Amino acid sequence: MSAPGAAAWRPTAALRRSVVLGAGGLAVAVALGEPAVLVLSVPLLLLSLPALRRPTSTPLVETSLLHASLREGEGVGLDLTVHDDGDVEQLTRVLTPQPLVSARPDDGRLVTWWPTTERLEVSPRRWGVVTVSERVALTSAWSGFRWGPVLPADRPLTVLPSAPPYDSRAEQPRPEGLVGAHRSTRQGQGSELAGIRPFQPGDRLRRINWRVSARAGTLHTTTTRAELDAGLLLVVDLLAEHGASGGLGGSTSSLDLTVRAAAALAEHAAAQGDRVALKPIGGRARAVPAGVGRRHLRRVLGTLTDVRPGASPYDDATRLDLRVGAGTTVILLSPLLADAIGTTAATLTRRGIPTVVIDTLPDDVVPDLPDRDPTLVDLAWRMRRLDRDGVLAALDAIGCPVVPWRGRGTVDDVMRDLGRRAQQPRMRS
Amino acid sequence: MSSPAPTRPDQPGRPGRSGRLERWTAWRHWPVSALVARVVLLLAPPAALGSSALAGDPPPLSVLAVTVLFSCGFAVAPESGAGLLALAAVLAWWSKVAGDGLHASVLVAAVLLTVAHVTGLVVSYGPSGARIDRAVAGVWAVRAALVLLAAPAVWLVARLVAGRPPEPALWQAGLAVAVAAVVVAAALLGVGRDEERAAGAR
Repeated sequence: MSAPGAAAWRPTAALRRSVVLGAGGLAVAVALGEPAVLVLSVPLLLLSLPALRRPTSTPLVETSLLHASLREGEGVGLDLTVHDDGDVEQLTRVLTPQPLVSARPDDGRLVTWWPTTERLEVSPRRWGVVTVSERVALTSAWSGFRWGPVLPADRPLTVLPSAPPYDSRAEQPRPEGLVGAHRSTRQGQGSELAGIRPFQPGDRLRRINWRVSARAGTLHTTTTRAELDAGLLLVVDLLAEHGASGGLGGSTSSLDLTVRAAAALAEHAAAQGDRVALKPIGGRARAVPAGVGRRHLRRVLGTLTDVRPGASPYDDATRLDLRVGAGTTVILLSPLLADAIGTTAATLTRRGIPTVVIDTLPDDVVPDLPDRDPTLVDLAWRMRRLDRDGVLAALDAIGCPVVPWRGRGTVDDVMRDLGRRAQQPRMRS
Repeated sequence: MSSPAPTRPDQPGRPGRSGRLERWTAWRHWPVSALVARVVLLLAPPAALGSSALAGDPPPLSVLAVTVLFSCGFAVAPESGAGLLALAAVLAWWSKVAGDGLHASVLVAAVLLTVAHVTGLVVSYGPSGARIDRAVAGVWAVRAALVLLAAPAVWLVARLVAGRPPEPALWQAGLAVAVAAVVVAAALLGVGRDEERAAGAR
């Protein structure tokens, strides 16, 4: 809400112009006996007369967002309430322009009569926290006096990453726990058919398969697989942002890919009832411990919304403590341009933890260093890419799968491989 | 291994040379209604001035140049004093037109003058480049048409009394009314300003 007394009614330039030209023209016409000037100035004088009444009201304006959070690409209305609006004839609202935020109508400029049902709408094109601010001006009858412009209180708007359509039919490599949606490698109380075998003492009677028993002449029971829950640890690389972000539908930076992919994976896991945890590396963001449910998912998405890239003194791989619990699959989202990420992935893989690296470096990214020698920049970037290729090859050699993010089914194949690998006997050194 | 300097999304910053250039070329992205309004502000005052040529007394180039200059200022900054100066120049020139200036072309000048004033008023409702709202423009067009009805009425009365001998009492009464109107208007605006100052002091 605007503060009381934040603005006052002031004569408009149009009123000053019409008063000076109308009354002055009239005076000149009469004084000099020039009827032509009278003809010219009378319309202006008439326009000024109804505008001269000075407003006495003290308006207060208040803005409100219809929703405090939304997905990138969605729109939200910005309502305006004017208290003590008795003298108001016309309303002007102008949104403060911000990068990657589109607004309607007329790019966030609304000039209309008051009262009105029209409202401003903002549609952020990129995830993050957007501060919506606008200037409001009111005009009295016949454009005589203007109140404002004033700046009502800014409204923060949380823009959640738009999770691209994501689905995975692959099983979790090593589910654990008591109950859940994932098939266990062990048999137990579930609904997924494991096989039919002869009855053994201790089998439940309701598990007897009477059709097979009648055909075989001996009792047989249906066995099922236990269904367990699983955990997903999303490790996001916030050390730097590579590429320019053009918002939803535009160019994509590495951070865009990382955040949107993490959001999609978290939503998918939460929908399956899995535990989801979030661990940022670098940047400005807090880790989110493992949890389940929609409220926890909101917390994860909220944390992803507020991430900022940047290096931190704790980027060293030896200091990273991921604390991966049993039954947890680690998905590491990174453009793989920092040592710490490759080392972390390799360490996790060697510990036998199912780890997948999702490569979030856009294909067309180039360094944006206009003030440097382009030849040197190009050479440095090629060398950097060669280093990165070496890291990818090393990860592949130790069995850590690296896949580019491509939405639906991105990790299906590698999850199946990890699942098969988890069922094989392992030797611990 | 150190990573190269990362690229960042667009960030708002201080306008550089290109920013200033963009500000001056921003009109290319304006809606048609805003552009039409600015053209009206640019052309209407010189056209009102030039209409005196129909009465057989075209303005000298120096007057026309000054009016065009003020009109440019009016088109660029509708809330500045340039609009007042442009329209005042037209009034001043028409007071110098040979004869009594009651040629029918003065009605054309009155229309152009009022159109320029109302267009400047509508444009100044919003920021530069804002679309002109149809409803707002429509209401102001009706208002302008209504007040313009007074122009031919005054013109007819002036034509009727033009041939008669001058009556000093009539002109003195008219002058008194005009002065009273100016004083009342100034008082209203002045009182408002005093209240603003008082409110600011509080």
